[in-house]
Parts: sequence; C-alpha cells; structure tokens
Amino acid sequence: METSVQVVEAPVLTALRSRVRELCAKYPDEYWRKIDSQKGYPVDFVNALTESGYLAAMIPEKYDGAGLGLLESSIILEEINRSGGNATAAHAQMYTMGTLLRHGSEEQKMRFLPRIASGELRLQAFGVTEPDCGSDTTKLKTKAVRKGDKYVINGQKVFISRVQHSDWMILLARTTPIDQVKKRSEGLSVFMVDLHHAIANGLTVRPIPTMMNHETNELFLQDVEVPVENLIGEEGKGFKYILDGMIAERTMVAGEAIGDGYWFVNRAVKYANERVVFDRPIGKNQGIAFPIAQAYAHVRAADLMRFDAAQKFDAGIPAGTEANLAKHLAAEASWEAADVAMQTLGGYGVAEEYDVERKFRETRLFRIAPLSTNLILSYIAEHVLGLPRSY
Amino acid sequence: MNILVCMKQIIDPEVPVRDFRIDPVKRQAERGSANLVPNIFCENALETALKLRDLIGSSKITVLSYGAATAEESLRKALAMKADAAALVVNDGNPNPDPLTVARVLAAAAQKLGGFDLILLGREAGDWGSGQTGGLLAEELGLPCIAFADNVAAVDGKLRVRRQTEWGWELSEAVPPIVITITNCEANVPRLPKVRDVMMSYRQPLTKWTVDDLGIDAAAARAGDAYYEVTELSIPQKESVCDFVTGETLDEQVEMLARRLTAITGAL
Amino acid sequence: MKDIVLCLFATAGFDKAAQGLTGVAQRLAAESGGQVYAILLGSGAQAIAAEIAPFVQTVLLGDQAELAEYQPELCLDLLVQICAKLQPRAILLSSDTYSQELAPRLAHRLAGSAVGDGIALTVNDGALRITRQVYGGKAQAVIELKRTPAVAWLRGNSFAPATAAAVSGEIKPIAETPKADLRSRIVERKREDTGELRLEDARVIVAGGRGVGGPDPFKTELRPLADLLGAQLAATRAACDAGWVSANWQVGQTGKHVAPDLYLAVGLSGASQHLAGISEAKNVAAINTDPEANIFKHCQFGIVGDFRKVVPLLRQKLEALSK
Repeated sequence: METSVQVVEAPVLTALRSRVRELCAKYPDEYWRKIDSQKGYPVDFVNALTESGYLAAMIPEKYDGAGLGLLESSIILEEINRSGGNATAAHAQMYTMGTLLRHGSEEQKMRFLPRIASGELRLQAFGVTEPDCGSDTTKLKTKAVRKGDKYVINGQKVFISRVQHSDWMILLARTTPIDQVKKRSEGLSVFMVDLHHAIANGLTVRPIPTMMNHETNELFLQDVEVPVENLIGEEGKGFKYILDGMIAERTMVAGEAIGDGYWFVNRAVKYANERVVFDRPIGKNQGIAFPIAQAYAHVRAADLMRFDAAQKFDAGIPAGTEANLAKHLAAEASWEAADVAMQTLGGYGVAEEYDVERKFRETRLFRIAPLSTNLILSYIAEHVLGLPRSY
Repeated sequence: MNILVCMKQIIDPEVPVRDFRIDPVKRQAERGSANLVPNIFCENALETALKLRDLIGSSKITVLSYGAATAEESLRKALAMKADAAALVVNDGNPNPDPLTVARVLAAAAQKLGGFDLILLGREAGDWGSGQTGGLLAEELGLPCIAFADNVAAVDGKLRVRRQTEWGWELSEAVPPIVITITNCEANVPRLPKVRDVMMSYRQPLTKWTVDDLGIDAAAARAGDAYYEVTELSIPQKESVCDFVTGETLDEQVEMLARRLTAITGAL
Repeated sequence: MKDIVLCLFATAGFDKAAQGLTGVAQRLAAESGGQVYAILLGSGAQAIAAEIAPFVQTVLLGDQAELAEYQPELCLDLLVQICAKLQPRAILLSSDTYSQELAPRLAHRLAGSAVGDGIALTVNDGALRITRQVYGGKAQAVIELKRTPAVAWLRGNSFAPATAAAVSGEIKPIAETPKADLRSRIVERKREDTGELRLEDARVIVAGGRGVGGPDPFKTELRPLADLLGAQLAATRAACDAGWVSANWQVGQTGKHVAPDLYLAVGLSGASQHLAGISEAKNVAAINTDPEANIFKHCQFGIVGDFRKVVPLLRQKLEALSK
C-alpha cells in the first residue's frame, strides 16, 4: 500500500493506517465541505473516532486507554488529514491529558483518565496563551490566588481552542508573583478547570472567527474558583509540566501537517493526470510536475524527521530538538504542497468543491501554531548550534 | 456455537476503471498500486457471525483463508474485529484456483480446525465472483446450504435464516451444522475495529498451513484447474462517448435532456 | 451423453431470460445431436410447460404438491436424481436466486463442473466455454468446464431465443420422488408484490446513487420524475447499504440485472460493479456533477449538473412536453 514509511514499517502500523483510512472513508469530502461551510464541529466524525478508541490512544491501558506510543498517535492524526479530514477538531483529546498523566496524583488520574478515554469527559482545551504573552510563556499574567480550599483565578487567555466542545480545560496561571521567584519559569501552576462550572461562574468565552473552520476563543476569567484538589502536581512547578507535553504535541501536529502534505500532493497529481490542455495532460509539463515532485520530496523528509522524534520519545530518549525540527519541516512542507496544489489546479484551486482551498486555509496554521517558525529557528540557533541568544 | 468464517483477500475492487490492468498471459488482474482488502461479502459474513455472538453469547469465531501470504493482513483485521482465532492455508500454487479446489482446501482445513456448527462465507468474491465456493464447500462437508442470506438468528438451538429473492423474502429454519453464504445489507456492514484491538491483533497467534498439511491431493490443489480453467481474460473496449446536452443556460440544457428522454419513452 | 437439460423454476415463468436459455439448449443439442429436456419445478409449472413445449423434446413437469413451493435441499435432490438418470452433456439454468444457489451443488453431486453468469457460450473440442464478466464487470473471462456434465447458469437475455419445432415436445410428470432434508427448510415466505413490474422487466428505470445524499430525495425528487417517465426506481449498492432505500432496488453485479430501453442514472458515479447490472440497457443517460464520472463513459447522453437543480426543472419540462 502507499505509505509514507521510509524505515521498514511494522505490519501493525500499516494495518493501523488502513483502519484509520477505513473510518475516514465514511466521512468523505462532502462531509468536511459541509462542516466547513457551516463553521460547524464534526460531531459525528469525532464520535466515531472516540468510539473506536483513537482519541484515547496515549492513555495507558491501566486507565482504559489504548496505551499506544507517540508514533502510533502521530500516524493516526496523519492519516486523518491525509484522508481529507481535519484532526485539529479532536487532536487535543489525545495529548492534553498528558500533563495530568505525567504529573497528576493517582486519585486525579483515576478520577479523570478513564472518563477521558471513554469520551465521557472531553479535555480538549489548553489555556496557556495570553494576549500579551504568546511565545514568552513565563510572562503570563493570569493569576491564581489560594484562598482556603480553592484558588481564585483572574486573567485573560487568547487562542484557546475547542472550548465549546470541551468539558474540562487545563489552565496555566501564576501562583507566585514573578518578582518573588528566583527564575521566571518558577511560580506557575497547572489546574484542571471544570468549564461548565467556570462558565457559569466568572469565565466569559468570546469566540474569535478565523479564516478556517476552527473554534478558538478569548477567555476572560473573573474570580473563577477552582477547588484545591484540581491543582495538578505541585504549586509553582507548572511550567516544567507544560514543557514536557510539548514534545508530544509538536510531533503529533507534525503528523497532521505531513498528512496534509501527502493529501495536497495526491490531489495535485490526480488533477495533473486528468486535466488535458493543448492535447496533453498538464502533468506532462515539467513546469507542473517538478513543483509537485519537489513538494513530495520535502514532505518525505519531514516524515522521516517525525519518525525520528516519535521513536526517540517512545524509547524514553530526549526528543525536544527532533520534535521541533519535525514540526518545523512538516509545516513548511505542507504549506509548500498546499501552494503547489492550488497552483496546479488553477481556477479550480479556489473552488470549494475541489477541497484544496479548504485544506489550504487549514494547513497554514501549522506554521504558526502550536509554536511559530521563528521560535523553532531561535531554539535551533541557540540550543542546538550554540549561536548567541538573540533575545 | 462454533462458527467458521471463510474469508478471501482480493485486489481492491474500488480501483477506478482507468487504473485497472490485466495480464492477459497470466490471466489475472495486475495489482499495480492497489491495496489488498478483505472481500466485502466476507466481511459481511464476519459481521453476521459477530452479531450472532453478540446476541447469543458463548461462541467461538474462527476465520480461515486460502490465499497468498498477504492474506494474513486481512485475517489480522478480522482478529481486530474480535474474531477469536485465525488460520491461513498459504497458496503457493495456482493463484486463481477453481472453486472446487478452494472448497476442498477449505473443507480439509475446517475439519483439521475442528467441528463447526455454522460455516459462513460471502456470497461471492469481488474479483472472480464465481459464487460457488459456499455451495461446493457444503457438498464437500455433506452439509445443507442456504445462500444469499442477510440475517442469521439463533432460536432454541436452531438457526433462523432470512434471505431476499427476486420475489420477496424467505425464512429458513436449519439445524446446525450448516453452510450459509451472506449478502450485504444495512445490518451487516462490518464494524470498525477499536484501535486497541488493532494493535493486539498482531500479537495473537495465527495458524499457518500449506496444502501439504491438509491430507488432500496437494498436487491437484496446486494445479487448481481440474474443475474449470480460465482460457482467456480481456478487457472489453466498450466505452461510449457521452453526448452532453448543450445550451447556454441550465434551462436550455434541461430542455434538451427532456426531449431526448421523451424521444425514447415516447416510442415505447 | 448428448442431451441437454434445462432447469426452470415456475416462479420465474417463461420470461425473456428463459426463452434465451431455451435457445442455447436447442442450439447445443443440435450441435451434439441430442435432445432437450426441460425440467419445470413449482406450482404454475403446468402453464409454463405449454409455453416451452414447442421448443424442446421433453418437458418434465414437477408441480406435485410437495414441489409447489421451492425448497433448496429437496429440489436439489430431485434434480440430481433426474440428471443422474438422463446423463446429460450439459445442464443449463437461468440466473435467478434458486438457479444460482443450486447449480454448483448440482454439478458437485454429478461430478461435473459449473460456472455462472454466462453471457456467451461456445463449444471447443467438445468442451463448453462460457464467457462471463469478472472483476466487478471490469474484465471478461472465458471459462472452460473440465468435467461432465457441464452446468451453467446464464443471463438468458444475452442469447437468442429458440425457434419452434415442427412437433411440440412431450409433457410428462416427473417420476422421481425427492428426498426431503429436515436439516434445513424454508418455513416462511413473503411474496412482495409491490404492484410494480420486476426491475428485470422494466423498460424505463431511474436509478439513484450515493450522490442523491439520503432517503428523502428518492421520494421527493426521483419518484415524481420516474412517474413522469413511466419508470421504476432503482439504486446502487451504496444507497441500499446506507438504508436509504429497500435492498430490492439494488441494481448491479450482485443486485438485479436489468435490460431497460432507458436507464437514467442520477447521482451515481458508475462503479463497474453497478454497470455490470446494466450492460444490457439500450440507452443510458446520466445526471452527475462530476464530468469525469465513470458513468459518462458508459452512457449515450447526459448532463453535468446537480440533480437537485436539474430534476425539478426536468420534471417541469416533461410535464410541459406531455401536454
């Protein structure tokens, strides 16, 4: 079968790809087009994914999850996008719980994880970014003040996605003022926030319309109360907790972008083979064929990087650099492939019924989120190559 | 109840016509870049078995294939759908054996695997579609056969089997053991396996045999052509060129369409 | 071993397919210098016997009480008994449900070979060669039967009917007694007389596929259209499997094989398995949004458009034209 595998892929992974494709085949292009035009949430698709246990991929079997690794998870997300879907609507359910998994108490894990695995509880919102603090996380201003058996939280968050289809949110807030800590990265804490309760008690959600069908929001927290038992891990250690989840998130997002990359290449090839102009299929023209081939080469390279990151992570080997590289290369490759596909299709590239314009709008986000290109390049320059820090 | 589901792996029948190629010398389709998939009617049969087990409980479902080594993938998918056991008789002979050969191999394997109360097959395969394997297997095993069933229920140790015909439906009552061939319907669309079961399916044992292990005439099995033989395979050039209706507006085009349709219906 | 046996079930009647089948039997018998025996089973066989007698040498009538309603194991046993005595060179059946399920088993019990869905038949050095569609209708194969009797179920519509003989054939009751098999019996049946013609006999058909999108447009758009065209409705397997329409409506390789004068395909892409069911259609027309859809390579005329816009307009036009 056509896979992206460069290393010899274990038969079980090829089987996994087939199974995801079969599920996605029940949600064809028309489905995604309709959801996009309605700016709706793909409820049926997400339910199907949940039913088959895909969103519980990384939850250990002990908590009723599938106990899979990052490699399998990134393949699942890749195949969703590769089939023409958009995994962004549900991918957070796969990794947001990671913070809870790694740093929560056993009581918290038993309380939440099995119900997240079954889909009964949706944990799809991750409240970190703020209007004045995107890349510079430690400068976030949302405050959580301990008052007896609860924390009272005040502040603002932006670009918090999927709040409307989430029951709980993981929130990062400052519990010790920045002038009272030795290092800026200290004094932040992670909380499990019951969204339904919060929305009725101080949390205002303002949707931000975007160019693609993606639910994202501004959040205003005014005296939102969170019980003490919903603090994850130790107070003040939250930044580290968030950081180690980022490797998984970046690798998974790389998978999605790679899926998009292959999708764009396949659509461009299909069109170039069928569209006959001047008595020849346009794919016969090198001016059409070569950009597609180039895009394919870049997607393949990013794919290999993703494998490297995922396999290291699953083996317990540090994979921060690889995850950053994978996300960066995958996002660049999918954007290139998107542009090539649009150019190949000509006028039909912007026509809704050809789907390229929809996925063009969707894939562009990967160069910005979950972290921007420049931050990755800075990281590589400073931490990998040893160049002087620029900021 | 001990249930056997015989399954065939075939080249994806959804390959578009323009990508479909044959080898006229080998008298087979060329796989090209197509996937190999379980025959849909075989999956309908498996789903029938799974639903029956959901209903009556305490049943063991074994899946069996006679095919190339790649057929293992389809059997593992069946395990992921929660079949209990799988067996593959690896075909190292004629890749397109006649249906009697297949029936003999399956019958021998079924007997080697143990007694079955119910043997299910798809009504035909999406590639060669002979539609005979079920009936011939029943004869090999000396069992009755109900074909084209779309519903199998168990009541008081008997099977109640429904099928559609051109004239309506029929309900049969059967005492196991019996062979039933299955056709597609809304209720037997194969279930989506859970991801955990997909991963587990590759850790389960899978019995592998060749025709030498079955106590049958292995040479005849490998030759696979004593019952019938494919003497020719071709792709008929039958395409026509569609005369699209013309007109500047949709109204004009549909007017033309209406006229062309009535030209035919009016003459009847 | 020169004779040819024809097996027909009364439920199908002496329809166009049976007539084609009889034609094949007649020609094969002439070629081998043998006779044609027509076995007719089921209540109502008497009437068919009269229709078929002019074309065969002997009609064996099985309309006794125990054969009135079809029972597979019983009918199989009876056919085996009769054929074991007659030792025919070939046994021909039609492509209805009963024929398809019994033919392979009949061949097995007689140590012969069977093949089905034949659209052409030749004799090569004494062996029967049958042409049939394979790979979901994408290819065609010729299959040579190696053992005798050669058992074939055929798409009778593909063959020329028989010519009447000077002397009409003899009609005799079947002498053999079938053995009932208590292990499996049909205990309940329902004839679905929808009041409509069988799809196989319909002269005009409007068929909907996945592109129709759901059950409602079949009722609100396609049904009125069909009424205006004097057509019956049919569907692809995708539409039937989705539960949008009755499984009875399925046309295709494993559905009904139809031979209408006009087949109007709406919102269906023309997968080869579907086309395999309409290869005998005289005129095919299509409404589809995709100009590259496979159906357009297999139709005489059509329109690229959304059926939701085309069909209401088409109905208006048809109404106007009928006035």
